[in-house]
Amino acid sequence: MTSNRKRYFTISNLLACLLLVMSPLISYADEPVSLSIKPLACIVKTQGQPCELNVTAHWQTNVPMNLCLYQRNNLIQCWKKQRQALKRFSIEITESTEFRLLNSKQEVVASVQIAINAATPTRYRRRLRADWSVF
Amino acid sequence: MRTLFYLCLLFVCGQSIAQGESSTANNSNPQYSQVGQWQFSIALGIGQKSNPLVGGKDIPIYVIPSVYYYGESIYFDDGVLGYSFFENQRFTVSTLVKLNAHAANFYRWHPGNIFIPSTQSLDSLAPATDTGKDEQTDVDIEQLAKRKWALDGGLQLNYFADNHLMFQARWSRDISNVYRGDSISLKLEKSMSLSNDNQFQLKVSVGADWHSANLVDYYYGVSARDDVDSSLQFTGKSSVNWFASTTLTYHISSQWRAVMTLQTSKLDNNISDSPLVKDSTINTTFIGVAYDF
Repeated sequence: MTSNRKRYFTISNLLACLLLVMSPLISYADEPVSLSIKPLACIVKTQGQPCELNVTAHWQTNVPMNLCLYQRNNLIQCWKKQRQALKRFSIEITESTEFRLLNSKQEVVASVQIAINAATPTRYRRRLRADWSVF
Repeated sequence: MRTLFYLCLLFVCGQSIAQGESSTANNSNPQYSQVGQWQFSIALGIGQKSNPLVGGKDIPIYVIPSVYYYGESIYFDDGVLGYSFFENQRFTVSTLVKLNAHAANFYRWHPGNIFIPSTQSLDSLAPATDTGKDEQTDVDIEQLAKRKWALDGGLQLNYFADNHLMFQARWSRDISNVYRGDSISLKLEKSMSLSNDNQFQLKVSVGADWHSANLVDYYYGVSARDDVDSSLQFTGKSSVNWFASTTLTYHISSQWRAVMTLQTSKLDNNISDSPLVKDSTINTTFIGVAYDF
């Protein structure tokens, strides 16, 4: 009985030590971050037309974090040691665009895409070929 | 040459039977163009385009531009302006206007000498070989009356057996009142992928052009209008020229391609017998890289 208790104690200690040692290695990327973007879609008449949007971005997490919001590679705003934030901004996009939240290690912790949908689908025609075309 | 033609024909037909329709219409398929969007490409490399005329200078090729636009019905494809009034999955029927390419032999800066011409026209590369024609019977191009540019208008039928095999028939007529003649062109074009990832692609074309006597006579005939000895007079007759071409493309990236093209054409005796023409076989070569904007 004493032996069993001793073994249990040793395993518990080992686990505790392991957690202690590993804790610095657990990155913020593992911390769940919820990112919501509104609206999520934009309708244009034909593909390629620009779409102007008033976007609302909201994120929240359980622990204070340093996060930056990017539209593709363009920085929109950074926050320091915050659990949540709200950002309203206007953009003009011509194709589906991804918004990403990056932590201080430049790791993507959340991403959301705004899709552009064309009311008239993109049409393609067969090329009829010119005589001198090599393309 | 004729054997080569039949071999090519057998090859493309055999490939067509063996290969079912697989590609779909999208922007990665070079057989298709997005409606309403201009497409620009430029190829840089080295090639040669010679002139089959006596004394005609070969033209080196370093840059080949390509521009095309397809609207709902109207289209412009490297110098051809057309309007498709019937189109379904298999057939397209169009009216078109284009510059007649034969004048390119007489002018350095004709569009046919800037874009790469097909072997359908005479403005292609001629090899340095001689047909054995007595040089003394040839005439000086400088002595000839001016051969004008001409604008052709006509009807074109395209039949697509699948995404890789196309048959084209075209009738065109001089609408600029220059040579007052007609042409009929028949072409079979086959494209195929040489690798599973579609990086290597091969396009093969074979066909024939019929030109009316008026066209041949205007550009290649020699008459009282030309300042040459009357013994050199030559009357052009209707002609049929055969042609074959192949283009190999390697997709380096989404915008860069390596391109190599070889084209050959056999001129009808009714053209090559003209004292203006020194070669009866015409070849075009080009190798380089192309960039899609």
